[in-house]
Amino acid sequence: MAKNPFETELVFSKTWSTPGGNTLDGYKASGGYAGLKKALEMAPDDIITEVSKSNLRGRGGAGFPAGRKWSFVPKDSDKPKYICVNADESEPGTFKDRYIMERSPHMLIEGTAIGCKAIGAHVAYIYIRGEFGLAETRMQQAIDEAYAAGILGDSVMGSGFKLDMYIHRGAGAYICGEETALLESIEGKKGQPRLKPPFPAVEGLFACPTIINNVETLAAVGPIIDKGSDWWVKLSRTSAEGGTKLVGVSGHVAKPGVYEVPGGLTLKQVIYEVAGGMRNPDKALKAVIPGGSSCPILLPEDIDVGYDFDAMKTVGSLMGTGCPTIIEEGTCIVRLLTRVERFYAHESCGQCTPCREGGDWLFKILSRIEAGQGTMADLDKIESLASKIEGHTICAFGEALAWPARSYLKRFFKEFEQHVELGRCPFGPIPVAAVALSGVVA
Amino acid sequence: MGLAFTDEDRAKIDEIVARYPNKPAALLPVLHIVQDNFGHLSPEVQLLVAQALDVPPPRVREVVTFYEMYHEHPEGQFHIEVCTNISCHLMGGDAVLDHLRSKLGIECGQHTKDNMFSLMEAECLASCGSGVTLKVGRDYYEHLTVEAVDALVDRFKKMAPELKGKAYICGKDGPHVGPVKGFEPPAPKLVAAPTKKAPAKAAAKDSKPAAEAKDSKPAAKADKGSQDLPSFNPPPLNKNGKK
Repeated sequence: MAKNPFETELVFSKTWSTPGGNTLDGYKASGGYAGLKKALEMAPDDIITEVSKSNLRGRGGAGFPAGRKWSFVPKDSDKPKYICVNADESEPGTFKDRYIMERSPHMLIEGTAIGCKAIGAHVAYIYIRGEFGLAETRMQQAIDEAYAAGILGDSVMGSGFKLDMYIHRGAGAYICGEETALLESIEGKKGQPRLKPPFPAVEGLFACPTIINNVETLAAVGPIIDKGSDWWVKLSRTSAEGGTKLVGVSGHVAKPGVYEVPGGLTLKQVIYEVAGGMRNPDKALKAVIPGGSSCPILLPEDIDVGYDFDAMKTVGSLMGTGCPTIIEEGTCIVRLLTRVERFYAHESCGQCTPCREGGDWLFKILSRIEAGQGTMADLDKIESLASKIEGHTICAFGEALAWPARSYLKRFFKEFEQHVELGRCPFGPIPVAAVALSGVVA
Repeated sequence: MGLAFTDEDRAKIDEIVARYPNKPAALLPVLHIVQDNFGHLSPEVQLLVAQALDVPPPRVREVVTFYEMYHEHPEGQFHIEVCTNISCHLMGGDAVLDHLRSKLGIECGQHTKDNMFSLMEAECLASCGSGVTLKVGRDYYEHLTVEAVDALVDRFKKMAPELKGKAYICGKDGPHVGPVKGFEPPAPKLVAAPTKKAPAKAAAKDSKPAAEAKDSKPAAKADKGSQDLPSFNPPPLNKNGKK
């Protein structure tokens, strides 16, 4: 019998609706910092082994096993080591990390501290997106509390392990969510990604070994160390991926929001059982963007698939950040893609020509099509342009802008064709603001 | 020009510099506090920062122009940024932005004649489950409708004299995240889980999940009211978190 998805034990959101759950007392009352206490008595290798056994995979989108990442840090290096928390959540459609920082900031501090103990880092930087006013305030309050309580500082919980934790506030650049761009940004530079290798684990921040982890990934570490990897694995309904996860469902659903669900649900369950299905029952599901704007779009027939990193690949998409965006019938896909590509054209760091120029070209071609001035040759141009951007840039931004273009075009080709044939958008007039920004004279 | 850092500024800068192994790394956080002080980052201010952190002035400028949140020119006292990215686009962000344009009589990137408002289109603000969202200073206003935006702008107009020419950063109780007061969204309609119509296409093969969801948890929780749901749609944050 299938378990009800809501009967899961809450890990991330345990204290979210408790008043004061974001404070040290609130967090401690819910069993917080037991994991750190335990970790301080463990050998670093044992911490890494435990995290590896839990099968915790990076929740920022790439799904890289967290334990394995930590094991890449050279043990014989005499350079200082760093952990950088990637809290630059800016993938369009993604909104889970902000909730952790606003509602359970101590969970992130605990996980980060355990990570530092595991790799031998004595300084951690939390790179918070500049726009996150409340998240930064809450994180800073939590860090101050932790210092005052001896959880951070010269002797973490009296163990003699020294750890300092600082917030580094970003300033509004999507690209700084890319790990090496994030490092550049902490070093006080423009956020332009670095060529790899060397990988950050060997030569990262200030040319020292550095681990960059997502907020949700690190937040999971405290409970995993406290209760053991077996407990974590069992929280999931499948063995493929352990634990619970935060899913942020947005778009045309009845109950958009952030939910904590056990691993192993299908995407369909997430949409219909967790988020209450379509907001307007008279309108059918048209498409789903499974995990942030860069993921290839899915058709309704493809959603009965496990919502995890591996299963999503079987339908030609990705789980990404775990925040699906649901689109109902009557939405113009060309207009949506135009908006997405405008975002990428705007956010390109400008380092690689295919991305810097190609992104803008894609956006201009799409604006033309949406305004009813496109030709059939434009449709071929989208595909040929996107395929030449993909794989030809320093970082994955090239893929992030090419994947939506190629998948939207492939899966909704008829709709693109219709725009060209009709010479207008079949879904009605374009909002004035969007036209003004596209530069197309309508 | 008599532009200089106060002792207080200098102390703050020293404190930030101490967090990093070298001075230039403090550039981003220092620019943030300097911008809050001076309102914007004019060439003179950029030079001051360059001198304070021992970096060449062009390096400061390239950072200032690379990042969206640093302004070389003054913005309106209320710098409004409306999200129109994917989820907000789906929820009608373009209409909200259009309304603000005509209400304020300015385009994106401009400010009103009295310098009270400036308008921008924002990229995804990570508030996708509660769109349409806009950001003013450090505050987020969510679940926006045209009516809510009207009320908000009126409220700002009333608040403006208190700012005495300075830019709005956030309220006394810290940054706000949530709907405009008086324009809270209705409690989520529980569309008795997947009804016959909608999922007919998507859930045709297997109707079990639908049936399950209907008579188990979600419905049961709905009866108790959406206030104390543990995991989903957490209630709006109280002002500053309880201490």
